[in-house]
Amino acid sequence: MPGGRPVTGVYLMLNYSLQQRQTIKTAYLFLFPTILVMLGVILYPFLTAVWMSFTSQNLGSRQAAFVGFANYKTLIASGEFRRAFGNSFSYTVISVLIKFIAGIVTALVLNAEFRFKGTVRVLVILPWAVSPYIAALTWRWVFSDYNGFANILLMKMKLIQDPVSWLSDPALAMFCIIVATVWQGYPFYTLMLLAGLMTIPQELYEAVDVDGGNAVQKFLYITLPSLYNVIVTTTLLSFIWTFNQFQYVYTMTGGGPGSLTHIISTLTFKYGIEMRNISLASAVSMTALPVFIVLSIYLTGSMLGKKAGSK
Amino acid sequence: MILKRPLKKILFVLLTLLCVIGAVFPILWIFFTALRPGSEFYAGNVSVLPRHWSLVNFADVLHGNFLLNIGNSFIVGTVVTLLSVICSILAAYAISRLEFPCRRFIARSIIASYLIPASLLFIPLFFLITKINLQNTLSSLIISYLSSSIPFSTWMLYGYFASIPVSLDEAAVLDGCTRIQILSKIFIPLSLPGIAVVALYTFTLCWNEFLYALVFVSTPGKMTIPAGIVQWIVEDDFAWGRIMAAAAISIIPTCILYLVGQRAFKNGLVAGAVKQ
Repeated sequence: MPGGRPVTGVYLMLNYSLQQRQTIKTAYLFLFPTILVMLGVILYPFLTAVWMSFTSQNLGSRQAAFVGFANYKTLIASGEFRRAFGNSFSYTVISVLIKFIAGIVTALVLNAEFRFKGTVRVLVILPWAVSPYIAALTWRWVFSDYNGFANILLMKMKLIQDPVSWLSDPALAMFCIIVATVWQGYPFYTLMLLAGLMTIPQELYEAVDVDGGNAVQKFLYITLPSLYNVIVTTTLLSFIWTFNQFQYVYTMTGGGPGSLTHIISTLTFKYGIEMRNISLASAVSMTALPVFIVLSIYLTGSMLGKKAGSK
Repeated sequence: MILKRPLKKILFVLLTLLCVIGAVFPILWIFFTALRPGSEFYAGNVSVLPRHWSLVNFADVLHGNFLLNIGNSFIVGTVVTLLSVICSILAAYAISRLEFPCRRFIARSIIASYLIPASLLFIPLFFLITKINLQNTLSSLIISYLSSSIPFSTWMLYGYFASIPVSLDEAAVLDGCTRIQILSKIFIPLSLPGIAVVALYTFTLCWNEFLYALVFVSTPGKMTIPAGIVQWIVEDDFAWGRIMAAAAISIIPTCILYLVGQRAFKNGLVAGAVKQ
């Protein structure tokens, strides 16, 4: 019996009829490969990482000694880690904010009626088709000291006399990393917000016209509230992804100059792969866990809930 | 919104132009860099457009390991896409149509595992892959990519399957169809656009993935494109012509897929994500 009532609890197999038992068997047979992958490539490694963060272990060594919270204590005492932890948040918050602004501006532009709209839409969303590591490489080249496009442009405009060393100054380097992140990431907001904009009934705006409201009021009182759900889902998804981005920092500065632009994910790589201290690396990656748990509890509910409601 | 006043119209056109240039220029810059001969970099003071157009960078790049890297990326992308589409069709059907214990829990776990970031998993995965001697193989990448592509694909297809009327499969059951027949005769044909989106997405995901590609494979000949290209940035300031040529080669397939599939992609994502 396909469809039918939703399962509300777990019963003993005995409580099911023969036909129901057949359905359950089929269901788990169909889900078997998916569950196998989830257990083997997600759950098991994840639990391994939790365990490793409480041990002292190097890559390739057989011994793993339990050391309790020693790795975490080392991290809290480490200036390098505290800096990376802070960087992760400032990098993510600023990137997400600018992506959102760029996304809403482009979505509003694309929601208007004008000639060549189709072409403009394809072009504005194009950075989405470029993979993040290529975006990072490209912007590293744009911000290169020698022959970089940023320097060429600013010198031609007479805004600077000598080339700027964009990626050797920690503050400027972080700025460049954010530029690259935003450039590749805003089209996702554009797509989601544009889809949201198209669902707002035109009558709502006409009602404001009747009351003599202006464009700003329309945006604040109709557009933003109508987009609330889309904005929350998009922003949270983007927050998780941006928080765990690895390629921009790794490719553009490698965490430098002097470890000042590391974020949690690149520091994990440095400790685990370059220094082969997988225990300390696991501890570093675990510090991102609270952010992930809080956001994903909300997101799993909203991503599934909406789907179930749309049946 | 029809713009009548000229000032407003000019501002709007300027804003639109700004958006387009901001979006497109970096991509053009990849090609402008790739298409100029190396001598232009040594001279300093590089012009915006190449003074001489040349394919020499592409010729320099397209041999040896990089050709292998391209081949590896195609193999990994194709295998993962095939496996992932099959697994997610089965899983999405079970979740949207079959009644079984823990259904809601499994659905939630699938979404949670889509959200779990690679940066949390790559250290233990590398450790495990080394343990079972899979390091430096394409299999290690294929297995790891399945862990992010199956959950996403299942979630997307679940949305498509949920929109297929239950009366259709009830009729099929009355006609004596098996589950597999219901899938192959009703669900797969009716959700072909969704399956296309999922396949495109999965292939792109594999093609673009960076972290696992960098960590799990260290032999140049076994690498996929991302790890292959990044090996070159350590070289020197003058390698940019070649690096950008390689970058251009790697974005051409995804840009074509995007242009071909952009309608389906957009509609698909919308159906999957924003439906209220």
